[in-house]
Amino acid sequence: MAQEDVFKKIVSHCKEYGFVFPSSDIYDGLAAVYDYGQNGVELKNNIKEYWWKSMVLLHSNIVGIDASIFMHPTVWKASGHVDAFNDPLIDNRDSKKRYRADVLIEDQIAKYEEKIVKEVAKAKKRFGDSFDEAKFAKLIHACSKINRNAMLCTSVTLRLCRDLTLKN
Amino acid sequence: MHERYTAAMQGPNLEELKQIILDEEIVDPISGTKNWTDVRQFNLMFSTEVGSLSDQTNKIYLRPETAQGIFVNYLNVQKTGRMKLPFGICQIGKAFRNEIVARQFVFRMREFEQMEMQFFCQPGTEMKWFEYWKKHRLAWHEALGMGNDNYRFHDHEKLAHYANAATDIEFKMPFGFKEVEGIHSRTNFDLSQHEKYSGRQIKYFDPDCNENYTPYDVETSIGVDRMFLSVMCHSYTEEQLENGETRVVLKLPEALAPVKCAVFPLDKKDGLPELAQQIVDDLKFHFNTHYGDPKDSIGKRYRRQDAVGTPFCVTVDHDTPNDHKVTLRYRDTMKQERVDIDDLRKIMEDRVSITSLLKKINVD
Repeated sequence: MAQEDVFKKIVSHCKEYGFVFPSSDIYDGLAAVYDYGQNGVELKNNIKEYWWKSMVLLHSNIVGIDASIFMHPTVWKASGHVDAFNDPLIDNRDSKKRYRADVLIEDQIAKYEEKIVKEVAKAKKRFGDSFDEAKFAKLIHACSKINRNAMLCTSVTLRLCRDLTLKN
Repeated sequence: MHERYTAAMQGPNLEELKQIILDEEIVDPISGTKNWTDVRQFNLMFSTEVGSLSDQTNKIYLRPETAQGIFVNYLNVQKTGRMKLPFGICQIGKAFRNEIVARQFVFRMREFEQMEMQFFCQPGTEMKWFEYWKKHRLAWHEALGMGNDNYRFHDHEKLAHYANAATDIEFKMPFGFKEVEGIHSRTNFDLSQHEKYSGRQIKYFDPDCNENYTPYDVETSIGVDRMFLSVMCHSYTEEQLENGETRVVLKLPEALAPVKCAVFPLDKKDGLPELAQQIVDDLKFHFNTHYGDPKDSIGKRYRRQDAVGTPFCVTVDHDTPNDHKVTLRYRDTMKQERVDIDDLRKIMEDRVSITSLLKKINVD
């Protein structure tokens, strides 16, 4: 089963067995807000109890508090959240959709990294036992940091690596 | 690209971010075009007004993290609790962020819950405590028995200007390794900032070295909802049974299971429901025990408990009134054994208690 399908099944299992419901379900839900159901709240409370006790009971020098959600507005000036707690956003004029610019770029980097993993697997097949995977991954990683385009350097690294493994 | 991106995020340099998107020829996944606007900043805090006046002076925020509640109470706790450094303050609570891209179910929500601990220590000792908390927090996760290979540390390459060390604990979700917890050495940044803005001295007098200083802080911050999701993802299992059926079972760590034990009368006859109810009434003071109505078959009732992760099922049958014994069924192995009613509590209580989990935390 593809991992994506597994995740979909988990989400629907959560709803079917009272772990997590969409918020305001009878109004068709509210995006990115969820409610914990009769089983979900028990599980969540158990997680919290496990954490709380591991802190407060197991460490004599740790104590707990319960502060309010509202705080003096200057707190958020001092913490830097008013001035710097921002996401960079970008809109696409055609789809009228809004995206986080950093997420778009990170997804692109992830795509490159995926290709690198495939290259490593390929190289491993080619060089057999003499292949030093850790060294190769390091090389590619170092290379992708210097180079704008990670794929370009992969072939360079492959060549480098061939020389290296031959020497070994 | 990676280097250029992290550099652009530091400023952040909005023009540069847009330039990277153009240079990399990133397209909109929906429209497929590169017709992008400029990059703008958007504050993630929710705000509202206090009282009836609606001018700017009454603007108030919903907290975007629980940490600040601890920092502003540092003096109160230290003084009233006569706390000596090093010491920690922890809390669990809701926080709110107006995320633009909220996705992956409860992984990124606009309203979420955090469990945070701020550990205050003498400047210069923070790296020692950072390592200590890395180890302890990982051990806490590992004690759940969800597979040590499913966790990894992800050290931050670029640190926030106030931090001198930062790492994430990531868990292997179906959509990849994802951050569940962060451990950050935040120096004295937060307490110093509050000294500056409040005008109050937030100093600790250290009797060992006869010095006054602003304590350093190591933070551990874990998302409750993300932890919940990692437990669900790990526990969800589909098993092929010998008779060709598929069994869906939540193999939850026993101490975390919502229901610990379900008690079933085999059928409605011979006072079995009353006997089952009696067992529930005895066990319910010790852990969450459910009564399972005999209108469904025993097999169906077992499946239902498997699906919510109940580790133990107890069946009262027609021999029970005579031999005082019941059938105990184990969730993961489906093994069944005949045990005396009086032994039930002893068999289950230790395994399902939070104490048993706490004892499994192994920091060598």
